[in-house]
Amino acid sequence: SFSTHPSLSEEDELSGILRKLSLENYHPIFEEQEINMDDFLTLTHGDLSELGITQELPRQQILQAIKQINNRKEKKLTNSRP
Amino acid sequence: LNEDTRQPPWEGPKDLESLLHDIGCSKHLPIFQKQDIDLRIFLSLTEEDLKEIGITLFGPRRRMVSCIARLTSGIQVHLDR
Repeated sequence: SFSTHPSLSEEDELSGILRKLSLENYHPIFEEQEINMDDFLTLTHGDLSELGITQELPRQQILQAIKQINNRKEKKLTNSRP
Repeated sequence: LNEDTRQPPWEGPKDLESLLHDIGCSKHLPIFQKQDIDLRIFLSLTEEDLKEIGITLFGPRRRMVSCIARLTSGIQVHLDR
């Protein structure tokens, strides 16, 4: 689908991901920059620096989480194909 | 002669306003209107261009860049057929 509407549940998901990593202190950055779940899942190391997440450990944790979610999404997509 | 029936189906947005609405960026429409940017010009913009005209928020800018990439590659596929 073409639409990428941000929704409340997506925002909840993002804050949930950050909470799980104990990185909820970074949530305001994503909120201020109006980054929704779709945007979040495209973030790179360079993007995180640009957003002001300059510490290496949190950056790696976030990238790892993004990778896991994207992998899971891809698997779901592959499994649903006939 | 009905133009519409001869046109190949265009599944994308009909104008910039509906495109921005679809990606949750309606509030940025005035920036483009002020610069006289329509859908066609919008689809030619780069991330740097968007920064320059004042799309400073990371999220909306990322959605616009992804959308431009998706739609312009869609057009290409269509023309290649």
